[in-house]
Amino acid sequence: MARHEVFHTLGLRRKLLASRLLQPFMLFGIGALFVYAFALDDAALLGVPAMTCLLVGSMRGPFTGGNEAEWVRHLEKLLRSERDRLMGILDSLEEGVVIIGQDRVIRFMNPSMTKDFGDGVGIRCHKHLRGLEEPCTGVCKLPDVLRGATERWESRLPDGRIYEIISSPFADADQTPCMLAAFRNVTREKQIEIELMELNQLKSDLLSERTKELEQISKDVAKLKEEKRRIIRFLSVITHDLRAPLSATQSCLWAIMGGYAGAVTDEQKDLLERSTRRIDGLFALIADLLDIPRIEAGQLVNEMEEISFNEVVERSVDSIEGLAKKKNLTLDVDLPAVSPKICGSGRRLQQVVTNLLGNALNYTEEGTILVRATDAEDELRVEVLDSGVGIPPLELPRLFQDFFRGSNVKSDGTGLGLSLSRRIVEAHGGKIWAESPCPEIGRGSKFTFTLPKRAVSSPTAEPGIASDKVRRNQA
Amino acid sequence: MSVKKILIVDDDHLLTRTIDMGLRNRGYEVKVLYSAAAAVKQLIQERPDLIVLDIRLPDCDGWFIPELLRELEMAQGVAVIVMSVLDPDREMIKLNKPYAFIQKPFDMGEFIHLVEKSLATSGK
Repeated sequence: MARHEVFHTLGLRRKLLASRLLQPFMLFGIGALFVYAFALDDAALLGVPAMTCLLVGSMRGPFTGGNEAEWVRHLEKLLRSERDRLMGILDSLEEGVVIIGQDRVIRFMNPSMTKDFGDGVGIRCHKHLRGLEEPCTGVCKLPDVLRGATERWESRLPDGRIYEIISSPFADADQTPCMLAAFRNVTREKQIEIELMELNQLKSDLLSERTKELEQISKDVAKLKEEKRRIIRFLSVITHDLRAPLSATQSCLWAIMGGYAGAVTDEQKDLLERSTRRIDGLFALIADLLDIPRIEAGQLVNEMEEISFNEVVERSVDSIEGLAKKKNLTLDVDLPAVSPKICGSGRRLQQVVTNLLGNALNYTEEGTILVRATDAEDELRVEVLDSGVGIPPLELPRLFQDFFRGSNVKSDGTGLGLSLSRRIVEAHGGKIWAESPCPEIGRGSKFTFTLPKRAVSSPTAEPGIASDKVRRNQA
Repeated sequence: MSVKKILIVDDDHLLTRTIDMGLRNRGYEVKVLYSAAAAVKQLIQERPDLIVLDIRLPDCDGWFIPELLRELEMAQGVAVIVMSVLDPDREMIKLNKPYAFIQKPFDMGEFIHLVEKSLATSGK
């Protein structure tokens, strides 16, 4: 064979070899291109073919001027080896790689693609990938890719899977223009993305809802404050208008009783005393009736300060000691050695203790009344025990209701004392209850209330007024 | 010793009559007025030793009187006893410094005792 024929044959063989062996190489190159494009961003697009060209160029070098046959064998071996390696890489790619011809028929699928979609080589892409009889309308990128465009898009399949696809023009081994596409399953990523978006939306909705709620609460609080101010103003007017004529009458009756209008006979004095007692009763009723809305409007909070509880009990005991003596009752007081300090309204708590002691006095004809305070770690417990007639069991649950009066004893009370005591104790965060018969004495009754011990939140130290300059109405 | 002049300012006729009766029995010169306007006129003309006034007057707030006394620089010579059916307004008491606050109703004996003390303190 002439040298030129040999070279001609060699040339043909080279072309043949190139066409056989370079096909997987090119596939690999383009496959790698897409994989790298996913992995390393588009910077790899130029790197992969450049690397391939360098590889081919470097193979030729050592055989220049050497034995051509040996070179061809060597090249053949090298290319086979490369082909096997590249096919192996293509096979093990996690991403699906597919080649689709201009007739929309699938020409090649790598194992990942086959695993995700089933073997579809020879089947039209719209049929195999989307289950459609006709080409996908509107979303098909094939015409653009065949015109030379590289496309990147997301596709949601009817079964819900989402793929990110990069497609690029590709000339198959027979030089037919095709589309090479790499599929990456991003369903999970998209789900997470959607879940995150939903969570963010939920968070935003909740925030918006909370903001609206807070705005509403703020409005309600302002409204309540205004309502509270209105109630207190109203009560002030009512208090004045109810008490003013009674006060004038009471002062007048006391002046007459005191002889300022001339001598008073015993009978007149008795009548005047009865009249003043009736007025006292009216004062007490007005005071109690007006105390209910005052306490419920939270006015008591303004009176909160650090108080020494023993003093509260002692003042109450002082106020009823005389009456107890009159009835020959023993009044025992058991207080902690160190007076407990609590946050509260001394005036109102004294009202509670006085009310309980007053009731004990009213309902006890003989025996003992005991007032006992116990200083526990987190609360103060106050008990008032008596050996009186007790409370009928059926009446116990109604004891702290407005206008309730025990049926077993005649009382001049307003029927509001215990209900007010309950409101006062509850306004301090405490509890009040009654037991009858008293568990320790076996008769009579036992009233207990507790007060939580807490820091002084709003002390209102008011300027002192000399006691001899102020006389407080005790009615 | 000159007779002490006391001005009673309250629109409650029953109460003013009662006070008037109690104070006259003690030998005081008492003038009863039912409004702040009338009280102001009398205050300038008569210069009383003591003013007993109610907080709620038909024409204005009773605290107006001690404020006026301060402005006229008469506060040193005129004692003021404030009375009310309401609880004492500690802010106003602190501000106007009356000799005493007395809550209605009150016993005439106690009231007269307070009047005597206030007149002794005012020292006129």
